[in-house]
Amino acid sequence: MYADLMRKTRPLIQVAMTLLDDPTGRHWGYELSRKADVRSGVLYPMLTRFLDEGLLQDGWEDPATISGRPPRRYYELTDKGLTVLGGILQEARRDARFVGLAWRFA
Amino acid sequence: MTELLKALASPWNFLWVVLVFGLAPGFCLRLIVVAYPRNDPRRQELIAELYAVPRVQRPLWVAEQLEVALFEGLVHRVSAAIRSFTARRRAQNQTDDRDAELAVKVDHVYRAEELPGWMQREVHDHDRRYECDGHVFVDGRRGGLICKKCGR
Repeated sequence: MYADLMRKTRPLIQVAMTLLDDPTGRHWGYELSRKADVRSGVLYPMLTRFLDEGLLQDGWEDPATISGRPPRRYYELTDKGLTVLGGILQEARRDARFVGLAWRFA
Repeated sequence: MTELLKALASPWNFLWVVLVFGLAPGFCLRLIVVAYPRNDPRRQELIAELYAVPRVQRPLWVAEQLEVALFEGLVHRVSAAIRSFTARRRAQNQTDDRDAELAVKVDHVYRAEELPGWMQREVHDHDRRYECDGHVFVDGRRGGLICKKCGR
């Protein structure tokens, strides 16, 4: 359902691919933007939307485990996010607009 | 080559490098995140992310955050300000309606002479005042009167 509502853009597909590369792992803003090759001006509003729609959940690093810097915020895929973003990628595979993208996940 | 080395060794150039790649990004980013509402987690997030960005890329990354802050943070702030203004206006209108309603119910209001002295002075200081048959009611929002029924 969400897959139909969400407008499929190249940055969305790239971010979805990066998130699904490690579906159970923690994702950090800067690393996500680097790996997905998406500018932070596009990435952060997208992450906010994913959080609002329950596709991602966020958390903060444990301050006890770090030193010399503030704790970073991480993002994790939810079950719903896994389903929805997986569905989006499945559809995008058949979309001629995204032919040039390297499909990294199975 | 020698000129290049000399330029690199120059104290002014060194200061510029320290400023541009060391101090300025953190300072500017802290100014930029002020565009986000006070309780927005993105404030802390961006400051923390700065430490993950390689120093060479920091000035450009921070400049990019200005765009994000303007379009995400400022928009939130403006919409929050509009919402707050609308809510205040609505509350103001409701208070006016309630005051008008109370002014009509003069039997629920203290008589002016029944009030303690300080309260009488306050009553007379008020510009909004309703009187009817020895009863008086002033604008309750300013701490004046004083509905007998609810005791405020």
